[in-house]
Amino acid sequence: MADNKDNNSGVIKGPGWILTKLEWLINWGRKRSPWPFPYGTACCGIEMMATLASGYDMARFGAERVSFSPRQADILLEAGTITKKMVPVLRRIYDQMAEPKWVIAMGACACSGGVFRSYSTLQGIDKVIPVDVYIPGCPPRPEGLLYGLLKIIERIEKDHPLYKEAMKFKESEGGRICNF
Amino acid sequence: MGKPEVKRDYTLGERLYLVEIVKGLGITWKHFMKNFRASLQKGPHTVPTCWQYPWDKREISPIFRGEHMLLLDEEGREKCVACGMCQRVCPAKCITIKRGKVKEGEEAKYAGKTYCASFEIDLLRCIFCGLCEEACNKGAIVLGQGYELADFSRQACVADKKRLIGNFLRAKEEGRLKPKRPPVPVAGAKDAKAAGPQKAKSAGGGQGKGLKRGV
Repeated sequence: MADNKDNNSGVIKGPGWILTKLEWLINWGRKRSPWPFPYGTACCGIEMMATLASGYDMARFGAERVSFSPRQADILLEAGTITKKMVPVLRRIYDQMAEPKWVIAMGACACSGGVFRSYSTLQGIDKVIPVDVYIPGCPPRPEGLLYGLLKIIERIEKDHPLYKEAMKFKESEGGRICNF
Repeated sequence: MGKPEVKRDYTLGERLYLVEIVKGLGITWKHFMKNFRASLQKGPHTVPTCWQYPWDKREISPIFRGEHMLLLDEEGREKCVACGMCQRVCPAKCITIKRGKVKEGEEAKYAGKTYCASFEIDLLRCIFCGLCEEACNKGAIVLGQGYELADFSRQACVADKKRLIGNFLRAKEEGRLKPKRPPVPVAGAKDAKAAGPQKAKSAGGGQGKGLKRGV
């Protein structure tokens, strides 16, 4: 809290009690229902299916419904090689997803291009969309993917959705009428 | 469409319908109780539903190829001599080695005359094929069993020397080192030995010619 303290007024800046409790509630809801959008373009997709199926059952972490529409999805689960022809599609799907959204890059090809150092392969999907969690492996084990999902959940827990919005509002024109 | 022919009348039990429902519910309860009882038992892998991953980790094969480790020998010296064979054979070109010469007084730290000053593996590029392990003359690099590699940034997924040696020490502590396997038989090597020096010479000549042609 020391960093947030304003030296002039002595008022502690930061999310207040109501805001933090509300944020906790929102994060609680979000982390327990991270619906994935399965974007399997190569062999990593097979391992992703194994994770979603009954053997490992990703639904245990709330990834209950695999959303085949980007508008209802929270996590873009990119599994497989992205060729340069595929880039507009990937970008469009990412843009169609509603906020808040997270991206998992699964496997060597999605993370960095892997062995395909070629003219036709995108060298990592972080060249076109922001990636939250990278999962190395070719393909990673289902446990590896679940670990990645747990990392996303960890990130959601630490998020401040309302405070961020409030700060944005304060910096914008509406900031003149509010004082916090 | 004709009327379906009923060969026999329904029995009283079938007509009541209740008996069949109770039978069906009985099967449901039997399976529920079976799973429920199994879930109460302690120990790994008792629940016959699915792998309860973060709490109950599945046993994986001892020859599984996961995160790499750099081995130390019995005296705690680094085996790697930074010859660069793994770097050269790697299909994804994910290994970067810097070589350093062992100075006087540092012999207790390194097994060879040279050592790797830095040894970086880009795990995001790596495809875990195990060719580096096969190419290594000193048996210094081995693919371990670590599979929990996900991280938030690209930089965090680059395994440096410290992490690789740490992997080895951890695996050694937990007794998860790979069993030693017999060396891969090389085709023709045995015949050349049996035939004597003459054939070996001719084979060598052939190789030389091939090289010349290549050049």
